[in-house]
Amino acid sequence: VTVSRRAFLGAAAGGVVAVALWWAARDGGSDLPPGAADRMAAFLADPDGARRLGEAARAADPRGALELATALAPAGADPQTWYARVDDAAFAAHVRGRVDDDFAAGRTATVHGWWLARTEAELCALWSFA
Amino acid sequence: MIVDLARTPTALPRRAEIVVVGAGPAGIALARALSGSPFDVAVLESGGREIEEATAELGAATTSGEPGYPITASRVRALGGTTALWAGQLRPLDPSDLAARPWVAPRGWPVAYDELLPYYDGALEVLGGGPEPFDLEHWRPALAAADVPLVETAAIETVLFRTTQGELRMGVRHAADLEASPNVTTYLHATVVALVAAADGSGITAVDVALPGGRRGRLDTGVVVVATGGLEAPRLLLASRAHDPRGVGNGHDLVGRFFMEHPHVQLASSVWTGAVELFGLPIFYALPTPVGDRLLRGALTLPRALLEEERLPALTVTLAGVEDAPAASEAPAVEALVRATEGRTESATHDLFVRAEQRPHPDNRVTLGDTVDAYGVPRLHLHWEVHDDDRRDYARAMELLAVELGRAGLGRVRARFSSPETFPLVSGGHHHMGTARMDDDPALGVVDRDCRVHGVENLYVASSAVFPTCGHANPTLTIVALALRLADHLLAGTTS
Repeated sequence: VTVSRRAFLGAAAGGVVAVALWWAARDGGSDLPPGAADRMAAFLADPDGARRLGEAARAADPRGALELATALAPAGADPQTWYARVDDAAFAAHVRGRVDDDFAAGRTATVHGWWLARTEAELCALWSFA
Repeated sequence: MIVDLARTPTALPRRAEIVVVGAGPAGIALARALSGSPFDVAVLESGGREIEEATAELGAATTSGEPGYPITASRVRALGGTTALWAGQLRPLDPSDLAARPWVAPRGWPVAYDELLPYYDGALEVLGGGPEPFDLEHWRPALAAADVPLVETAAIETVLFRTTQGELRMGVRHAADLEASPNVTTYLHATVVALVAAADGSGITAVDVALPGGRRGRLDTGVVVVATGGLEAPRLLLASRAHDPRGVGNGHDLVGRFFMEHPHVQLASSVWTGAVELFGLPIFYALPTPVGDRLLRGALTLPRALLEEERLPALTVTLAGVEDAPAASEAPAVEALVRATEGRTESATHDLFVRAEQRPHPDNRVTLGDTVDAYGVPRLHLHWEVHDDDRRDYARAMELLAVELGRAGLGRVRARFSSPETFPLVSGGHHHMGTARMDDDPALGVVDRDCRVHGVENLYVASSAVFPTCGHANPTLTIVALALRLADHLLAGTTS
């Protein structure tokens, strides 16, 4: 069986894509959905501090960026489009509402000993990928 | 009349119908209540009018368990007792503190709250606390008028502590009353070194007293009230071994056991984004604050129903200075994060200081040491530790508080421990309780509901030593209330 150079390159490229997709599916990857970094940068008052909190949160949370971005977005929303579509004010309102819901439901995460809303920990963890 | 035996050659009388050992707040309350009665009363105080080094040395003691417990610094032999050092914090026990709470102790107090309640008014009069109730509702208008904001959420309550107005030292405050009493004589520098039991052990016939200049005296009596604190009361009972090597009232090996403190620990850090108006000075949740003509301090607590549901002991939380380095705790990062997630522009950081109820544990106890003091009385040894069940519950209370502060949009809390075994240094409030606990069953308590030592018909204890459980409130107000109740019992000449 002979394989043309074009076919070989095509198969190789396909393999790379497949491996990348598998990797991304395996740990969520480290790439943020479009717009996510901008929304978080506008929201967080202390980006460096939030990054440190996020790195600490990730020590106890193996989820990758895509999983975190999905968790942080509204239920059912496509994170690949939601962060780019939502404006800063709506993003802030969404996060604040989620924080309220977390505490009302007792959903907390411990980061550096702080009892934070789970959403706060996820936000910082996602930001630490930026 | 007050007679200082170090200044006058007066001898002790041969007999007094009632002997009160110790002129601290309980002893003074008894003396005032018995003044004018038909009884001839002698109050025997080891110290003088002021704190003296040589007298204080009689109380030197050793400790084990929690490191650094200030056992000597927290006791005073002088007219007025430890009120010479105290901060004048007053609060009654809560009714639920006396009730049966099986998660705290197998049994509650044998005294109903309604039996104790009437004596709190008198205790407030003795201690200069003013006649008003402690209810927050009573004080709400005055607090508002004083611009004192309150933290109140569905699961966080504010409780009030009152501060003694005027002279804190009860020996000074009530000296004139003691001087003027026609039937109560207060002897200073009269150290009771032993209770003398009747031949059959059923009563106390006299007290042996060490006097200045190496003299000794024996004072016959019909009734003895041991009104020393929660450490010296068991010491005297245990050291009075002439009749029984186990001591007086110790047939069930209970004297000295079940020592309780109010563990004090700076257990958490906090970032506050709501109610930042709280953090002007003075801070109501940290320090006594002028409210009208009173000094009030607030403390946060969890509702009693929640404590019961979670099976937690009582506790309060106040604000304190920040001990952790900010970088270590990431407090600035959290402050900025929470400002964003709560949509606030202001914030403040404080540590959270916990004052908690401790469960009575038989291994926390006062025993006699191997050495003796200048009068030959064995020194005491205290073993005190905060056990894992209490630590776990204090940690759980912090978690509940953290979630509630977050839910209410007030702030966030950081545990200053990674597990209950890694608490910061635990200290105490100089509150010595439980070592002659009250229970109607002689197998479970040293004294009965009348504070009379089981099996000894004329010996009583007026002290926080009798507390079977301790709640979170500072004990002095309840000590005095119980002393006044005991005075009524003695005046009625009844036994129950």
